[in-house]
Amino acid sequence: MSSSSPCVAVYFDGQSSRRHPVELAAEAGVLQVAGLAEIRRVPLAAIRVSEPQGRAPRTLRFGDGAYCEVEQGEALLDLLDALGYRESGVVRLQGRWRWSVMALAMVVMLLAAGYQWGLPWGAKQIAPRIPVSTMAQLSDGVLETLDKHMLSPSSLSPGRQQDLQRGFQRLAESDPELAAYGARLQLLFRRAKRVRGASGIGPNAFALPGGQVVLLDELVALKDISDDEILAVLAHELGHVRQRHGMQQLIQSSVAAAVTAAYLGDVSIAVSGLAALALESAYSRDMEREADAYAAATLLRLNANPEDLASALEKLEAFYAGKEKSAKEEEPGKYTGWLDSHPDTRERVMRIRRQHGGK
Amino acid sequence: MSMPTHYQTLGLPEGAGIDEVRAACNKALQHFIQQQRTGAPLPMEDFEALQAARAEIGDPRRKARYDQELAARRASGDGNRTTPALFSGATTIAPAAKPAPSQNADEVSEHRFQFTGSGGEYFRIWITNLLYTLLTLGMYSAWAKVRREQYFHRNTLLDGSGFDYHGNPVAILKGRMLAGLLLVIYSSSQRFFPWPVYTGVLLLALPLLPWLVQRSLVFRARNSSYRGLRFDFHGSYRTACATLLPYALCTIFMLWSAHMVAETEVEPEYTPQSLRFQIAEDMTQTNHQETTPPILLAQQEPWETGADDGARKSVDELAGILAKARQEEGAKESARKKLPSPDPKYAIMMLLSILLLSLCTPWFLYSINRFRLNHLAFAHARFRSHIRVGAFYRIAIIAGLMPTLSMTLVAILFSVSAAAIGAGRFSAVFISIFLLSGALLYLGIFSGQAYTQSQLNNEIWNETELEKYHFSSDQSFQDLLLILAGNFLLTLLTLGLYWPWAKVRLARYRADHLALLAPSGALDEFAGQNSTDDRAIGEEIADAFDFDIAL
Repeated sequence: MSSSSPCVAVYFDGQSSRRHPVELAAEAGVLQVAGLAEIRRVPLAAIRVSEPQGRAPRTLRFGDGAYCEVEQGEALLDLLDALGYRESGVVRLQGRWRWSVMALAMVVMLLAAGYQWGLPWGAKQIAPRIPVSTMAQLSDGVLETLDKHMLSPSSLSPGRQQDLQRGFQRLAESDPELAAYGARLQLLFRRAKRVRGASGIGPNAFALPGGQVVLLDELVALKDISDDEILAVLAHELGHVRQRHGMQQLIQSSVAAAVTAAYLGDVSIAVSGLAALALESAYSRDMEREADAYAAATLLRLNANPEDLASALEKLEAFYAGKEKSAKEEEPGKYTGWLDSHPDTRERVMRIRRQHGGK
Repeated sequence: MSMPTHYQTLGLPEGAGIDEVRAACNKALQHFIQQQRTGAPLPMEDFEALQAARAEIGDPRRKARYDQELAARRASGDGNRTTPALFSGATTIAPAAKPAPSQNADEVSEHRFQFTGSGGEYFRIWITNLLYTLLTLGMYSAWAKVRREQYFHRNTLLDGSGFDYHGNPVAILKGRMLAGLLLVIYSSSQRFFPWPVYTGVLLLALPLLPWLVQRSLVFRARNSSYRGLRFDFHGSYRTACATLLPYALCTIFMLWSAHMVAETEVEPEYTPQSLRFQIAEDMTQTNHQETTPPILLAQQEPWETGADDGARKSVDELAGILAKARQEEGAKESARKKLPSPDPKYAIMMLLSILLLSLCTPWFLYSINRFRLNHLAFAHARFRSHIRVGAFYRIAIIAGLMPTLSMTLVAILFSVSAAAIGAGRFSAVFISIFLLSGALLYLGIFSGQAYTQSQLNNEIWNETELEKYHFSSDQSFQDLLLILAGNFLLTLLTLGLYWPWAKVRLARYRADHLALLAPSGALDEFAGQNSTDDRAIGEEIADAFDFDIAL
């Protein structure tokens, strides 16, 4: 017996639940199990040693289903040492608090980096690879639902519609890349539905991933807005279509929602849903800036003035600010800047003016 | 007549420290083995007494409780300090000094489950798992699952021996990939196909559900062991179908009629927004199984093993149904005004199916539990459960009343405060009422959860036996409520970092309140599957064919 303090264990033969008290010893890399009818000798190579799991007993498994259950402690560690057993790297790391703190920091950094750069990058790579037909199918479904529940037919005069339609065509034709969308690249006129007396979406325009751009009468009817300004807004929406923001957004928000749900999901679905919403709306800021830049470039190409976009944004902002103010008086605490999906309009306006102010 | 105390068994003074206890245990065990080797073996009862002493006073928490009990016993004058020590120093055992072992052999004693894990240890495993899973883009999650399961299994002891988990990470990864694929097919068919096609797909896929459930129950059972013997699950696919399909069909019918009603509703319900949450919800459900405790302790929550997503979802569904019903009311209201009214035929069908679903949910929980318990086996021994359907109804009704009560309270609170404050003055008062009602709502939800979990658990285990041995479960509603609410709050406040401690706390509570009632030594009597049965249900076969599905 070469090891100094004998190591006691309980042996199970794998055939019955009977416990056999045994004594373990190491001799030249071979484990000796004494206390059975005859001494059992097993070489280290044929033993599967379980990882230390806190104060849980550890197991030494032999190939035939038999194993020894040993209390974690010095006697066992001496024995394993004498056998020449080394713990795996993961186990050695798991045992240390310093590593745990480091791992935590790395997890946080990875998540932050993944969210900040990885996710948008990945979505940007994937979005262009999604066939237009798929996006079209998706958009058609969404549009159908919107038409059913939130939108009603436009009440603009046919002449007015034609004017705007011509402007939209000019914008669309100026970018050959948009041809891929075919007939779905169209301007649709709608009016926001009044749901149970409450005013609906308000003055707005939005783009669907399939290429449809929806213009609401409320935007056209906005105080003092000129046709050039409306077209500037449409150019901005075409920017979303061209850069596949809709698809990108869907991918990003699905992944973000999945990750937050996986992490917080067990706590509460409601909490994770809120978190995902907050994360997701922060994304659209970058996209708005990209779409602004695209719109400005398109307008310049058509010898129009990017300033139109800036002033259109200001008018929209003024409208919503007034509405928000009255809403705030009714229901305090309902509006928070963080959840606002068109943030810092002033910042956007200034950016457009800074870059194209000379014109 | 009374048993010697564990200290007497070890020949130690009462209140000796943990280290002394462990040293004495090892010394006595060595002596026992020496005797065995020299051909003068001591009776097995000595060994059992030794192991029992180690389990009870070799664990700090248990020792504290045991010491208290001893003190209480002595205070009531019942202490029998004259019983001679079993091991009065490991070298001088007089055979005559032993209490007659045969007397105790048939005496049923309570073998408490024991959980020896700690939050700190599990945190270190958890964070390492999380990091590696992120670095490998999710591939490591199967290995992470095995590490986690092993931690919870091995730290769960019964009569001094640990459970073990043998799941093969590769099999788990395969199962997860299959589950992911099904999920993608499911959500994309919902998105891209019109309703009738989607329903058709769902109906065609329906036979798959019982198969997945049955396979995952088999996988979990066969990969769990105790004292070197595996568990097994004998439920057939046919039985799984009979258990699950009626409820699934009922649910689909309800969803269909709700859809037909919603067709004519004004509610916007299919926007990209709701689609995103759908995905999030799906993902949550996949994730839900993450930390199931060892096989026996896993049974408390009928919806937790992921085996029966129908059952687990039914609770969520009830909430959803209520919301739907409320929407429905709103729709009716607006329908009266001018909108095209929903076909009354469908509305009646929907209401009927909701009624039917709520009526049969407890029955479904009951039958799924019977399915999983009555087909579970440990080596050759079968589990038998005599759970009563009435108890499930009682539990469901009381648990359902709790959130209802809190919602009513909140409604009253709001209407009273609205009347008292009047319009125009909000701020601090409003916010505090808002917070208070939020807390009330959560309290209602947690109460319902804690009540269901504790009572179902007690019902299930008190009515289940393994061969001739019974279980005893004594979870209390108040304890569990404190644990659940505390875990939720702390996890929220620490941005999720408390999660490992929360899991450990729950696992410990579950173990502490479950016991097997059997004569001491009875746990040694189970025979293995290989001895008489030549169906070789080996690890390899389980790994090759079984998937661990968490749908």
